[in-house]
Amino acid sequence: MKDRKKRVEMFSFYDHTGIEAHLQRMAGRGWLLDKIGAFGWEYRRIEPKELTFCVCYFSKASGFDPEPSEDQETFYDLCRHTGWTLAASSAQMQIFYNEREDPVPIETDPVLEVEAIHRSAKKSFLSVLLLQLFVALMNAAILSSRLLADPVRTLADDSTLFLMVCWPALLTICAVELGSYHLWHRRAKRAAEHGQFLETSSRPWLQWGVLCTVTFAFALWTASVATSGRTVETAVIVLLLLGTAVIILVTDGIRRLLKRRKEPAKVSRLVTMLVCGALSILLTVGVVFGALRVLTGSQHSRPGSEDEAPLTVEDLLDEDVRDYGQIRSGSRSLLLDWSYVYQYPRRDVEGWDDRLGLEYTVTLVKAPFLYGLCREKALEERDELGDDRVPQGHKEFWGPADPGPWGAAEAYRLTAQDGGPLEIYLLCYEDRIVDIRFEWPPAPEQMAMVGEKLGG
Amino acid sequence: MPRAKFQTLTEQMFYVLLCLREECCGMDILDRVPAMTGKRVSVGSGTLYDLLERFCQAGMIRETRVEGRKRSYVLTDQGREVLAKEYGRICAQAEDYRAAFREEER
Repeated sequence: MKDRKKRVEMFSFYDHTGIEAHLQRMAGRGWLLDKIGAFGWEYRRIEPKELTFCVCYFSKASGFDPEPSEDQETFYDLCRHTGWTLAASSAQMQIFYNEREDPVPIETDPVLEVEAIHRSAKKSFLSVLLLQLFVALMNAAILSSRLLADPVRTLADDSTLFLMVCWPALLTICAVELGSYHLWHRRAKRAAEHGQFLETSSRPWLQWGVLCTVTFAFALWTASVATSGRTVETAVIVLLLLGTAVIILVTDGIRRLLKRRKEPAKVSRLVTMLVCGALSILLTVGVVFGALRVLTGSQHSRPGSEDEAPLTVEDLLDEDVRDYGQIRSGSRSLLLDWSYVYQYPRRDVEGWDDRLGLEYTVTLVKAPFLYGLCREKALEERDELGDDRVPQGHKEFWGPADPGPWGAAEAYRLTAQDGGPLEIYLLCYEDRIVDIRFEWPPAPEQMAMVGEKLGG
Repeated sequence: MPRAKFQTLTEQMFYVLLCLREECCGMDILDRVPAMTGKRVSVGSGTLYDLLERFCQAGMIRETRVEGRKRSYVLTDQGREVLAKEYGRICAQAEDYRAAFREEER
C-alpha cells in the first residue's frame, strides 16, 4: 500500500476556502498534505480523521527563501500556540491544520485577512498572471493577424492550429482568474467592512477543461506530425517537450540547491531566473536554427528523387526530369493540406533557356466548411480588379474557362488587361483547388493529365 | 466607508491593547483575551501577528524584550491615549443607550 501520493490540484492562489474544504476531505480519507512541489501536491497517508485546515498568506515570505525568516518563525510559533501545525507552504501561501475541536481560526479579522491576501497576490499571483496575459494577448494578436492576412496557409499548418488552441486557452484562464480575483477582492473588502468573511471560489472545471483541451490538441498535433512522416517537425516536438521538462527540473533543482545552501532569497531568485532564461533561449534558438537548417536544405531538391511531386514536367512534356530543379513547400493540418511546387530548368544543363517550367499550388480541403473560403481566397490572390495600387489597363483578372478538359467542376483563366489571356488557371475540384501556371499553352491531353494527377 | 486607521478600534484591537497595559508577549495575549472576555472574544494568531506589527509601526506599542523568537511589548503613551479614547467612545455609547431607554420608560 502506497504511503505517499501526488496529485495535480487546480486551485486559484487566493481560494483559501476551497483549498481548506478539499484538504479536510482528503484528511477524512486518510491523506494529509505534506508538500507543494513544482509537479503537484504531495500527500502522506494518515489515520483518517477530521482535521481543520487553514490557508493563510504571509506576504513577507518568498519561494526563494533559504528557510523561514525569523518573522515567519514568530508567526508559526503563535499559530503553534493555538494548535495549528504547518502542513506545507508555497511562497506566501501557508497551510496549517489543527486537531483540536472548534479551534480559534488563524485569521479573526476579515479586513486584515483581505489585506494579507491582496499583498501576497500582488507579490506573486497577480504579477505572474498579468505577464502571462500580456504574452498570451501578443501571441493571440499575431495569430489573428496571420489568420486574417492568409487564412488558408494559416489553417493548413497544424503547428499554428495547435497554437490557436493554446494561446486563447491561456488568455481565457488569465482573464477569468484576474477578473474573478478582482470581483472577489472588491466584494471581500466591502464584506470585511461589515465584519464578514467572504468565501472564495475556484474554477477547477475551467482549468481542467482548458488542460484537457490543450492536451487533446497536443495529441492531435503530435499524431498529425508523426504520421505524416515529417521527421524534422517530430524531432522539434520531442526536443521541445524534453527540453521544457529539463528546464523545469534544472530550474527547480537549482532553486532547491540554493535554498539548501542557505543563499539569500535575492541571490537565489536572480540565479534561478538567469539559469531559466539562459536555458529557454538556448533551447528555442537551438531547436529553431537546427530545424531551419534541415528544412532549408531540403526545400530545393531534384524531381525524381525521394521527394516526388504529384505532377512533374515529365508527365506533361517530353523532358528529362533530371534537367530540372524543384522547389517544394507545403504544410498540412486536420483541416487543410497546402502544397507548392515549382519546377525550373537547371542552368547547369545545356539548353536550359529552351526548357519550360511549371508552377502550381494545391489546396486540399479536408474540412468541407472551408471550401468556400479557400476558393474565394484563391480567386482573390491573383485578381487585381479591386486593387487600386495596380493602374487601370494593367490589371489581371480571372475569367471563366471550360472546366471540361481539366475534369474540374469549375475553371478560371487569368487574363491581363494589357496582354490578353495568360497560361494561369484556377481549377476547382470536389475537395481541392489547384492554381497552376504553365510556361507554354497547355494542350487538351496535358489538361486531362493535370486533372488526373492533381484533381484527386 | 472604510474605517480610518485606528480612529476607532475593533473589539480585537481593543483587547490586544488592553492586555498590553503591562508587558506581555504574543502568546500571553492569545491566552489572556479569551480569559478576560469569558471566551466571548478570541484573537487569531495571524490577526495578532498583523496587529502587533501595525501597532508597533503606529507607535502605539513598543518592543520591550526579545528572548529568542519570543518578543514582549508594552503600551506607549500614544497607545494609552488611543485606548482611553476608545474607552470614552464606548462609555458614551453606553450612556446614550441608557438615556434612550430611560426616556422610553418615562
